Amino acid sequence: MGTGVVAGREAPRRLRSIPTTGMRGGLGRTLLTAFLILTILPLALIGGYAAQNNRRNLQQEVKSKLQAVATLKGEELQQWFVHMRQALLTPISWTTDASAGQREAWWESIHKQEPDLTGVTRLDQNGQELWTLGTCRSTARVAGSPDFVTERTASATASDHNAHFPLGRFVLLGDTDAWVLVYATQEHTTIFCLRESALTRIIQYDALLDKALIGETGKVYLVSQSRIWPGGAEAVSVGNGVYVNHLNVPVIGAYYYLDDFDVGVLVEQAQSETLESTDRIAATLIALVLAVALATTAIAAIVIRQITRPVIRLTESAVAMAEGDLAQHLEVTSRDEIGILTFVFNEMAADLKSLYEDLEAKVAERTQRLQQANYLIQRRALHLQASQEVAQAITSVRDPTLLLNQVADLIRESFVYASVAIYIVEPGGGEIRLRAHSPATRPDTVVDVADQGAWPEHVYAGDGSIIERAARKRVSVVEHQQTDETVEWYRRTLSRAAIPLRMEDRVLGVLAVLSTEHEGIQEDELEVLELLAGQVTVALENARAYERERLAAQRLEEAEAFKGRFLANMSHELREPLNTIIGFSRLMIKGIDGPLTSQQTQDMQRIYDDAQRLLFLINDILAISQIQAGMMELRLQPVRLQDLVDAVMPTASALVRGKDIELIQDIPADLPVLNVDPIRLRQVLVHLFNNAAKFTERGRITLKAWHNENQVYVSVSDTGVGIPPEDFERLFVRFEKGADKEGRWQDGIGLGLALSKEFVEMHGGQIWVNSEVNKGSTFTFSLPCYVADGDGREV
Amino acid sequence: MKWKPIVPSEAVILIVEDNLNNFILMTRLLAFLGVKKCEWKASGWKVLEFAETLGNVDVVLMDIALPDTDGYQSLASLRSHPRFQNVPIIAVTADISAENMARAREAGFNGFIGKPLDPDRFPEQVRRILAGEEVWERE
Repeated sequence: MGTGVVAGREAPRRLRSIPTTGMRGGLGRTLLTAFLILTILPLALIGGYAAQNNRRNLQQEVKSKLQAVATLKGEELQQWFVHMRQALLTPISWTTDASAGQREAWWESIHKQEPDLTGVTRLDQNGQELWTLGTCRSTARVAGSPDFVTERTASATASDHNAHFPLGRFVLLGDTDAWVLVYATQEHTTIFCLRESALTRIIQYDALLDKALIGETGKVYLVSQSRIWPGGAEAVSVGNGVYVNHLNVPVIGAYYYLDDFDVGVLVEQAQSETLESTDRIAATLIALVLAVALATTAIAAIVIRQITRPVIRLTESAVAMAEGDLAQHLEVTSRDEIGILTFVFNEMAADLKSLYEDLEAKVAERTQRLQQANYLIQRRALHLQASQEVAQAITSVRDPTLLLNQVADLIRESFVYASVAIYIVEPGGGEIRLRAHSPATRPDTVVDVADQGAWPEHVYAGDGSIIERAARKRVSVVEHQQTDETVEWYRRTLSRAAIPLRMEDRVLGVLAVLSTEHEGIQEDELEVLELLAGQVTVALENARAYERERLAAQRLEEAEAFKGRFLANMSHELREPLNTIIGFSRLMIKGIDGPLTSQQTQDMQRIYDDAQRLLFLINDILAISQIQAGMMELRLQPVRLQDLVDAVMPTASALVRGKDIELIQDIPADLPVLNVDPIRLRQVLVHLFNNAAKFTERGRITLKAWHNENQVYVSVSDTGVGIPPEDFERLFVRFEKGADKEGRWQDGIGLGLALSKEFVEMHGGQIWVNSEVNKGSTFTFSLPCYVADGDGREV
Repeated sequence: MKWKPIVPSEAVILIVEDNLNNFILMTRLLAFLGVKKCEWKASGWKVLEFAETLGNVDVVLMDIALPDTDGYQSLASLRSHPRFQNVPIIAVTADISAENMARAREAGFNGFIGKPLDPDRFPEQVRRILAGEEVWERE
């Protein structure tokens, strides 16, 4: 009956496994990465930008300073040049014809005036030395060589640069160890050799100031004819800004060009010096950025941890919830969104839990209701089964007391009652008595409530008990009573119900039950009980009727047995005086007491004969009575019929004495041995002979015997008055007189035939009669053959 | 059990019989036989009561249907008495059923004569008993 719901409740909560491998901590990593990018990138950008800017500014500044130095030096050089041009104009104006003295005089003056001037040489247009003042050899050899000039001239015409090497003006030319001023005209070329230190001094004077201006690595060069001095190396790139100079050193440079002399001043400072501070700043910046990054990371880690820890806890709780553990509660540790989230999570978890529990409770409630329904159905089934059993029991039990006890037991067992009692209204109706109760012991051992202990033995009209009320009102009465136990478990409902046993409008009794179940006796239960009560009533009536019948039958039987006993006793009592009569009459007839007259003897003989007949009759009655009382038992033994007949024949002869009757025997020699009680069979034969003799005046009495496989037949035929067929049956009935229709009184056949019939039937045989009125009668009886077990003993 | 034969004229016969008429009939018949001395007790109890006062008894004829104690009980009592241990005791009873005779044989009676007494045969039956013969005749 629908137990599926119960099973459903027992189903285990499914545990889901959440695939979170490799996902834990992901949030922290993401946040940390974002933090790092957000903090370090701007810092790095700003730092980089600042460093770059600073670098550019510095470069600019240094360049300006260098430019200033270059300009300054250039101006100084310009002045020097102008001065030198003025001082050296004289020889230029000299033509070829100028006297040596003149030249010597000028040299003397100029040499003192210009100590830097080491010598002057004039070359003709072919490069031939015209004259020389002072020493200007080396220079002359280089600068004054025709190749030199020619080369310069040629190149001057060929290139833009050489455009600055014009004729008719001073041009400064540098060599490795000397400087020369060259003034070329169409006719000649005048070379003024200068001390190498002259220009160097100009460039490098006031070194201290210069140091301050151009720094430790600052250097001033002269650039001329694409060469750089000191050194005379090929000028790679000159001048502006940041570059790598001829010494392969990254420098910042500034250039000042003097048009008049086709010479430039180049001031360079190593970038390393220039950018030293800026590099330091950059390094600092990088360190700073790194430090900030580190700090940021650490802080971020802490912050993220702060943020993610509750999130992780939430996550873990959520995972736990997803896996089925709904009892999740997190402590709200922070007053922020996470805190709110935690709080809300808790609320939700609690809601979910309560929802789930609510659901479970509902399921449980539903299950319980179903179980209750099941229980009710089962109980109903039990009750129906019980009523069926009761019905079955009561149809098979005839004894009312036994019936009531069985019913009480059955009801108590089937309905699980504490006790069941059945009361029966006593005849007269004034009193109702307890007739059966279950358990058989008094129920006070079962129920420990004092006043519930025992069902009263008697209920009197008007005593107000539940039984009396049910009997009086003829309806079921139910009483509920709560026990006042303090512990709920022990608290019970004591329900007593009394159901009248009604037969139409009579109340035969009351069925009373006591229930100590929790729910007490319910309406449906009462209905079943009423149904049962109806059945019990019917059964009780049946049993009572049966009992009445049985009692009647028993009384009848008892009466019959009494009759038998009475007759047996009476016969015995009757025989005693009869024996005296027979004895003394015979005594007198025999003449023991003295001789009698013939008349006396005749009279005495009559007394004796009738006393003898009376004795036979009494003996028959005794035998019949014994049979009726069940006191007659056969003592079977193997008997040959011929022996019996031989024993009977003297009696038979005596019976037919004085009559013209022939006794004939016809017994085959091979007649089987009989298994009979010889005394009884003898009595049968005597009766039949007696009967035949009584009703036959003349003729024959024939005893005949024959047999087939199973039966031996014996018949006694006479040639007497015969019996009308309608009397055949009555012949074998006790005390029926053989009186014929004409009212002719025949000597009573008494009990002889009835007794014979009884004896024959006791042997398993039959007896019957064939007769024709006035021709004779034939009584025949059959006996089963004796199956010999060894040598048949004979009487 | 065998007992010493005795001629009727010398025999003393004890008759235990509650019916006086029967006793008288029996004494008459016994007298016819030639028995001169008959003792009469109405019950087995009385036999025991007066066992000491009784003279010598040769045969006891005992009714079974007796008041107080029946013939079987009386037989047992008499047999326990030294004076009757070797005296033949004959059941004389109206209960002539084969069962009863078998029971009498079982109980230790020394003969059985059915009632009503046949006056034609009774003296002869007693004569045989006195001659030392066992008589078991129901009628």
